[in-house]
Amino acid sequence: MEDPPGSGAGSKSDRAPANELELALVARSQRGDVAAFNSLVERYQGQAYALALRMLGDPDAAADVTQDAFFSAFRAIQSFRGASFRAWLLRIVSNGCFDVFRARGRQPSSSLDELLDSETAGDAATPSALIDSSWDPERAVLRAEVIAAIQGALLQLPDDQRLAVILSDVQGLPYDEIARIMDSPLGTVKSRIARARGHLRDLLARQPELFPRGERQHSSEE
Amino acid sequence: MGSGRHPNDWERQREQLSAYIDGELSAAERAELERHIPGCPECQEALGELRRVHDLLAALPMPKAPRSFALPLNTRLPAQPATQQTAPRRNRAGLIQWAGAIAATIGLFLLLGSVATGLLGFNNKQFAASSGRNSDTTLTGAQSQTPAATTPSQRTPNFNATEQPQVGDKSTPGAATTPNGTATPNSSATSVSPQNASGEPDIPVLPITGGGLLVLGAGVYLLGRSQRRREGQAA
Repeated sequence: MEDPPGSGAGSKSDRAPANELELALVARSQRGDVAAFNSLVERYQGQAYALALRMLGDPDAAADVTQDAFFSAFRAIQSFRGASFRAWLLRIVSNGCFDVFRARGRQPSSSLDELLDSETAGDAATPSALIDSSWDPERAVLRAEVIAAIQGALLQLPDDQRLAVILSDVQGLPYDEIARIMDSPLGTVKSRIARARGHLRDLLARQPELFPRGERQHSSEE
Repeated sequence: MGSGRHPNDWERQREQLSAYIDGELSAAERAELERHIPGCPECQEALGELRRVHDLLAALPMPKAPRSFALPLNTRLPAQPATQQTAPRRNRAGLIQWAGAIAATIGLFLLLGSVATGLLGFNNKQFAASSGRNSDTTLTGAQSQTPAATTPSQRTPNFNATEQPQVGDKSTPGAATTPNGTATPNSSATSVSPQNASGEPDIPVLPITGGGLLVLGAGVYLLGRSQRRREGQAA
């Protein structure tokens, strides 16, 4: 079996996850087998929730979107004809996130400054959304305020750019799968990721610690 | 990020650098970029910054799901696939369309029949009575002379028949329904009694009913058709 979803972020390690087992589970789900569908849920719930959380910055809303997405996916499973269940599922999740944005009037849940304020108020105030006991300790390298700053910057991106760069850099998906999830041409995906990285660079440059200026500092961190 | 060496297409150059980080360039593009970068400080700086952003995002911890999102085992698939769900609605729209068409046809016959008997029946009621289709209007003339006795008993079945034209009228298009059809104008003719009192046949009632039915039926038909088309597009 492959890596847990997202564990190889940036490494593009989970290409072509669709295999015979997954397609068999999909086929059984299409006949109404909930247990088979729950195997798919178990397989992708971490990745689905992570996408929703990074998109929304709000753990409760992310959990709701994830649960709704799995219900919607099951109800629509008979219409699934594609090769990649993951791409199909993550598209449903991202649509759910866009619905939340619309319901909120396109306001991100919190700004970078708010997140940083809550971080610097003390460790006890660290948002459980960003640092909690469920984080994979092997990946919890960044300090809480760094994570909050990155999340805050993500929330300031246009929705399409945010989705593209989360799928690419946080989830480590290849461009062709991102294009399927976003239902966009490859060139558009490429452009959105580049623009998002440029925006994030500008946003994070306000924090010298987060984004050291110049290669000297950059290399000294590595 | 600078743009001195790439004044016109810095956006594109940044896209190339960004895709280079992800290994998403073709071999030719990659080779070209690798030849270019060593001599271009701007691209070197931009590449470093893009990579730094990528590395920061990639280092974000991956949250575990706060709970299981498994569905209850008694969750059921929708009773029918989506395509079949729209089918009954389309059938209903089709039924509306048919009902409208039938009503319009009946209205047209009434209209034409009344016009024809208006032209013929005025002078020759005997002639009209001998021909099958026109017999109804002759009955109208006959009944109109004795409205009180005959119409009340015929009124209820008449209204039933005209309000549901797709059932009763269609199944018995010939002689059986025509008497009913003419009794309806009769029942309304009682309210237009001055015409009866004058002794003339109630000419305007039948054409008005027929014309009304024609217009109404045509409207219903168009409504059904547009609804059907809309559902077709939605599906």
